[in-house]
Order: sequence, then C-alpha cells, then structure tokens
Amino acid sequence: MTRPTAKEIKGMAEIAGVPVDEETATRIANSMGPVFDGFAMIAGTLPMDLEPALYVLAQPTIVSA
Amino acid sequence: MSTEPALMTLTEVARAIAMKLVSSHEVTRALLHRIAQWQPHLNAFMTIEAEAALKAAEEADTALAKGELRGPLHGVPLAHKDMYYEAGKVVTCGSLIRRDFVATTTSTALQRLKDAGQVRLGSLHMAEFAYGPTGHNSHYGPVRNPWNVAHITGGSSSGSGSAVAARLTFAALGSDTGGSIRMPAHFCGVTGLKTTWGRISRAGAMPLSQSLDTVGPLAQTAEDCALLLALMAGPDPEDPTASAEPVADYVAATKGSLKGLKIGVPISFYVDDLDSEVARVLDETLAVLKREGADIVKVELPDQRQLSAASQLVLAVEAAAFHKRWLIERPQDYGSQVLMRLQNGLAVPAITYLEAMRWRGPALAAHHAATAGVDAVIAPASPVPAPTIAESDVGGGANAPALLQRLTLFTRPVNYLGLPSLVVPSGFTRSGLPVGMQLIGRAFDEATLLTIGAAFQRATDYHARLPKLPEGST
Repeated sequence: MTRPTAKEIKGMAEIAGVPVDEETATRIANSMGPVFDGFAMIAGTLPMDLEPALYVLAQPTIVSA
Repeated sequence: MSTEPALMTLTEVARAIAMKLVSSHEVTRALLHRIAQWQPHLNAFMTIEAEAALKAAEEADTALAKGELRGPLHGVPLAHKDMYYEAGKVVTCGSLIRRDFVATTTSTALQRLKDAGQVRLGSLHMAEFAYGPTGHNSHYGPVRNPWNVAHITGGSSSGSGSAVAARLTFAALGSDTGGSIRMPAHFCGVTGLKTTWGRISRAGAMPLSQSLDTVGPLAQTAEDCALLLALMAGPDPEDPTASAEPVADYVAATKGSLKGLKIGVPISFYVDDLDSEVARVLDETLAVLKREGADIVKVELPDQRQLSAASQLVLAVEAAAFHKRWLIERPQDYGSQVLMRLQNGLAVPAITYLEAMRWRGPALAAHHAATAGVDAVIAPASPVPAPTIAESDVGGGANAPALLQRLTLFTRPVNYLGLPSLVVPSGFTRSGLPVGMQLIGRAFDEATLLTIGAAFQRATDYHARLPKLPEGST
C-alpha cells in the first residue's frame, strides 16, 4: 500500500462531493501519510472470509464479579 | 470522609443525602459556590443552571422527606459533557454549528442517571465535536487545568476532567473515541473509565466514530466510576450495538483485593521514550501494586503502531462521513484544527477503511492471546504530563503537530480493540502536574480494572488531593 498523493486526494475528495484545493490536499497527504505507512503491513494481507462484523465474536464473555 | 459537602466523593455524597445527613439543596449550594469561584479560571462549564439546580434539589429533598428515594443518585448534582442529548436543552457539542441545537430526545446514558435521581447542574465544556486531544476550542476558548491554568486539560472531555478535578461536580460523563476520557483523567488527576465498546448505549450521544465511540464516567474514585457504570451499562433498544453481555456487580468489585491478580507491564511501546517523570510514576505505581499483593509480570503485545494506524483510518473516515453535509455547507463554521482533522478522512479509499474494519477481530484475538496470562495490562495514559496551552495550540510552533500525535499515542490502540481502560491518578510531577496510569482489561471485564483501581486508591491518596484556587481569587 502506498500513501495517496495530493493529486489523488484531490480526485477522491471531488468524487466524495467535498472538493478541496491543492494546498488542502497537500496538507492532508502530509498528515495522513504516516497513518498509511503504519497500516501498510496489514493492507492486502487479510483472508477473504473475514468480515468486519466478526469483531464482536472476538469479544469474550467475561463477568468476573 | 470530608465534612465539606462539595469535597465528598460521589459515593459518599449519595449516601449522605440518602441518609439525610446532608440535604441535596445544601450540597448543590456548596457546588455552585465552588463553581462561582473556579469557573472564571477554568472555563469548565458551558452552561450553569443555578436556579434550576437549586429548585430540583429542593424537590429531591421534599421527595426524600416523604420517603421517596428515586435511586442511588437521589439529589446528587452532576454536570456532563455537552454532547449528551437532553430533550428541550441546547446541546452545543462544543461547536458553533450546534450553538442553538435543541435536543428532542434524551440520551440513554443520561436518562439512566436521571432515573437514578441526579440533579442537573448545567453542561460541561468540550472540544469541538469531541474531535481534539487538548481541550482547545476556538469558539468558546480553552478549558484550563486546575493544577496549573497555563496547562491543557486534555480532551475531548476537557470540561469533565477540569470540573471533577476542581470538585465542581462529583462526576461527569465523558466520551472516548481516541483517548478523550483517559487524557483528561491523566492530565487533571481524576479517575476516568473508558468502557468496552458496546458496554454502554451510545443512543443520544453525539457521534464521532460509530466503531470507536464509547461512553464513560470521570470521577474522583474507581468506586464512583463503578457506581455510574452499574447504572448505565446494559442493552438498549435504541442502540443495537449496546451489548447484552451480563452486567457485573461493579461496586462489589471495588472491594476486592489485589492478591492473586497478575498485572502485565509491556516490554515495549508503552515504556519507550517516556518523559522521565512519567517513567518514575510508572515505577512507583508498580511498587505499590506489588506491595498490595499483585503479581507484576512482563507482557509482549502485538505491534501497537499498527493498531494506532488502523484506529486513525477508521476514525478519519467515520468522522468525515458524519460531518459531510456540514463540510459542504458550512466549512467556515468549524475551528481550523477540527476542519483539518475532518478533511483527513477524504484521503482514505473505501477499501482501506474496510480493511481496517476487517482486521479488528483478528487484532483483538491476537491481543487476548498475548495477554492470556494476565488479568490486566498497565501503561501510562500518555508519554508526557500536560503541556501548556500555548505550546499545543495553533501557532504553538513547529513541534506542535508532533506533540499532539504524542499525546494520544498510548490511547488509540485501545479504542481500535474496543477494550476497557481505567485511568487512575498515580502521582505528580515535581512541578505539581498529575500523572495517571491506565489499566487495560479484556473486553467486558471492567470489574477487574475497578478492583485494581480501587485497591490502588486505598493504598494511595493521589486521587484525594485538591488543586488550589489561583492566587488573587476569593
């Protein structure tokens, strides 16, 4: 996974209906870049049969008092 | 126990009112007196409803005289973060956009406290739309730390942390999406409980990120937090994500001993690059826990930076989605920092957001596996004590963005995993700023955290110390 560039962010923001100018897109790219880097080892590695709702199954039942 | 009503703990004052040792009116007046003294220094309250509070207190006293005890909070005056909807009340959410927003419903968490008999004192200041870690608010001014008014309170439950620390309310609701209960608890020297995701209904609480948002209390003690959690926890037809997992006897849990409990200390991340005073307080806290009977062991946790990154991806997208209409129609009405944070969500492709959501289950399972041998994990709430308002504000210098990132370094992973975490006041810096440690538990195991927190508070007095009114005040 790579960080999105300012140009890509500008395009995505426009498609989302919240257009931003180049300066803002650059600021967003710089701000979010490290976040994408931090998630890079996970992105593209998850097995197919894994959906978000399975998260609650990982919450165990614990009532200790 | 303090004989000054405003200085009692929530548990003490609730009992004293119920036993008619003190009246609700007397207690409410005492708090309003302190609020009048402190509010000009702290800016902790958004609204102060003195007349209505005194009237409600009188009604509570009258009811009690007739033998009508409404519940465990009968006649106890409380104020909460200004994002919990109460029908007929303005709920600003710390924003200009909602300056005149009148709620038409009452949040489930708040309703449960009302049903238990609480008296409304007013509402507490907060970061704009709960999207800020410091307590800055460009519309209503910063909330200030009672231990040193030049320093931040932490956010986003800034007013909650400040008001509880100065004893202007016995407890307060906060919310925690990336650390917004735990940071004010740490910086202001109060006890704060971030609950398991799904433990308390979020219905009628302003949303920021539906996958990460949690409701929880800030109070003087773990026992007080237990009392409030017991009243609020459990399923809710208004919130399908509110869990039906059994609700433990949290108050009973606070009577437990540390003997036989294993507390894990991470071998990395949470102990790396700590401010020296935070590191000292961590060592001192471990010594107390050990002395009280806990077994302190080392734990190796999965990569917390990946969890933090995933947490920020989820938060950025969900917050931007909630705010999309106003981002289009009223971008000028956001504070500049909040607008920038909201715009960050525009950078995340849908597939990346969904990957971050899909990874939550395996990430939580990996955490539980890594911590299977301990009852809780202990870590600093933040690597640093409270910075000054100036150095963490817009224009705070080249280091300000890095400083803001650092504040939430130790809190975001817990939100991603949806785990409970209790911050307890654990010491002070040499300059007198509080330092808090967080106890991180397994999902739905708030009870064990409350056992540890209460035992620590029986052995220490950090939670009972009082900030002094700034000089020149009357």
